Formats: sequence, structure tokens, C-alpha cells
Amino acid sequence: MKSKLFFVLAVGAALLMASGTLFAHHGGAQYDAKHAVTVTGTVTEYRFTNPHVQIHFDAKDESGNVDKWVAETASPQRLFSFGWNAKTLKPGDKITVTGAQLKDGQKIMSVIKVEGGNVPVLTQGAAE
Amino acid sequence: MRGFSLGLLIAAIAALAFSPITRAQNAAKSAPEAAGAIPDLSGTWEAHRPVPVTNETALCGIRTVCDQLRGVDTAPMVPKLEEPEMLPWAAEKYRAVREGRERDPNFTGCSPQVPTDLMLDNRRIFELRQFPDMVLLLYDEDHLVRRIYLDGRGHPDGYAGTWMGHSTGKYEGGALVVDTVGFNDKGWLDRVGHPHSDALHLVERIRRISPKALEYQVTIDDPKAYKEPWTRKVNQDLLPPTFQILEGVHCEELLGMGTHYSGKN
Repeated sequence: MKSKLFFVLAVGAALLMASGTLFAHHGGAQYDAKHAVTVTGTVTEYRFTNPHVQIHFDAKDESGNVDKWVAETASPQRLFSFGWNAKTLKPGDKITVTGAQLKDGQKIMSVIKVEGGNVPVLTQGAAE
Repeated sequence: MRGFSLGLLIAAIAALAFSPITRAQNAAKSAPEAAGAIPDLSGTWEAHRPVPVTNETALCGIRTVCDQLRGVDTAPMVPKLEEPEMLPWAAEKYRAVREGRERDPNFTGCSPQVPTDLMLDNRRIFELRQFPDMVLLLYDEDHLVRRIYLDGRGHPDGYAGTWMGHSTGKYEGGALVVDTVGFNDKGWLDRVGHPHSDALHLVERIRRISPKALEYQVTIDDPKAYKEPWTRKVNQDLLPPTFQILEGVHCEELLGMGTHYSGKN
């Protein structure tokens, strides 16, 4: 009975970790902030969610393969104050995103600049 | 007849003006206000950001990453704070958090926050509302509410150890002075990872230092965790009356609940 309970708890914990800890509050050490990347693609999902707004998008690499990217920005409260809302982006929007990619090569970036959709023009001078 | 009516009216007004009830009400209302004993602290506030958010940095989720991308260093703008002297267990717990050996639940988990973390953490926005018998602090974070009782009650005996503690307050020298006890030993005092015990006793002073700023000062007295009481101070900036507070559900993403905002819907 004990082992069954442990198994259930372990599976639950694993699912929880796999489903949501990618972006939950963290520091910046895992991002390659020395080299900005700029990627153009098509929004597949836009999550105006806590703690950080997420933009999921597809982008073709140099060989024509489709990479599935996730771009993480600031909090909904911050973005709302700067003119963003739940309708700023929608699936199908063409966007260009600049940010720092994870050092381990995953297609996940911490954003500094987004263009496209209904994104208000805010940022200038992101390092290229 | 007309003169009689006018006389009655004047007599009635005079009686009302000099009645004990009216005088008591006027005295209760005007005396403290005239003396400035009850400061106006109401409004929506956000801890002052030493590094202001601009159009250029508005989208940044992680300041240090953005700094490097932009080729700037904002670290010198953040004031350096003196470390309190900790007792051994507290020092070890703090080191464990700083070195990543222990997860800080405020940062990555779902534990509720304690008053100091909410006030010192520069991302938390709150609305302060003053009533005769109570002050309410309404946070964007997880719909948290702090009730600060002004009705003269004391702290109840045997109050269960809680995350936010039990708060009583009074106005003193133009400040709201809040006394809080009744904590558990599971929380964190701030985002840096300072722990506390169930002996934690907070004394907070909130006063208006300008039309658009509050000063928040807290004395942290926790003899089970720190050698001496220590203080932290942060100013709170007034947000415009039109400011919209969004809910900040801390673990929305961690628990897979963050779909109601989705652009799909």
C-alpha cells in the first residue's frame, strides 16, 4: 500500500515538473545572454499567464526544418501596463522575436523584443 | 407666524449644533485629523524600483539577462544591504538557498508569502485602504489580504502559526505602526532567502513622505534566528488612479492552470 502511494505521488510529481517548471520563476544563469538571437516565425499559442507571458511559435531553420520555439517575456501585470493584453497575439500571427536562448540549445528564449501581431512598438536598440 | 417658524428653525439648528452627540462626533472626526494623527495612506502602491522599467526593458522577464543583451550593467543602481547576523541554523539555511541546495518556495514554489516579502519584493503591487477599525492591504499576489486591526484588540493567545501572522496597528507620529506575531517557521522574509522562526515579531512603520510616495520600514525581531533585531526600508511609489491591478496567481503555470488567459480562447 505504501509503495503504491509512493508510486502515485512520484508520478504526480514528475508530471507536475514536466508540465510546468520550464519557466516558473528562475534566475538567468541558464541563458546565453552574451549572444542575442533573432527568430522569425508563426505564433502557435499565446499564453497571457503568470508568472511570465509565453509565446509559442514555429520557425524554419536554415535547412527548412520547423523548430518549435517558446519565448518568455515579463509578467502579465507588467505587459498590461505597457499596452499588451490577452489579444495582443493569436495563433497564425507572424512575429520576430529577439532574446537570449537557453545555453543547452533548447529552443527557449528570454525575450527583449517582439515585433508583429498587435504588439505595441516599445523596444529599441536590442543588442544584435 | 412667520417669525415664530423662523425662531423654531434657529432653535432647532442651535440645539443640534450643541448637542452632546454632534459635538462628540465632530470631536472624534476632526481632532485626530487636525492633529495629523491619521495620515492618508490610501492608494495603490508599488515598491520603488531602483532600476526603472522603460519601453526598452518592458518585455524583459529577467533583468540580468536583459542587461547583458543590452550591454549595460544596472547592478550598481541596486542598493547594497547589510547582512543581519544569523544564528547557525538560519545561516546554513540561507546559504543553502543562495547556493541552490534548497529551493526557495517564494521563488519557485507555491508557498504563501510573509508580510516582509510582499512589501520588500519589488514586484508586488498592493492597494491600501483605511477604515476606522482596520487597515486592509490588498495584494495582486494570489489575492492575498492583510488585515491590520485598529480597534484596540491584542494578539490572541494560542494563535496558530501562520504565514502572515496576526497584525494590530495604531497611528503614531503620522505613521501607521503595525505589530505582527503568530508566524509559522516555514516562510521566507524576502526573495533573497532569509529564513525565520515561529518567534518572529515584526514592527512595521508606514508613513507618507510625499504626495506620491510611502516609506515602509520594518524591524525584524526573531531571537531564534538572528542575533539582533534588524531593519529594512523601502519606498513605495503611488500608481495612477486608473491603474488596473491584474491578479497574480503565483503558481498558475507550475500547476498547469494558466490556460484561461490563452490566446486560443
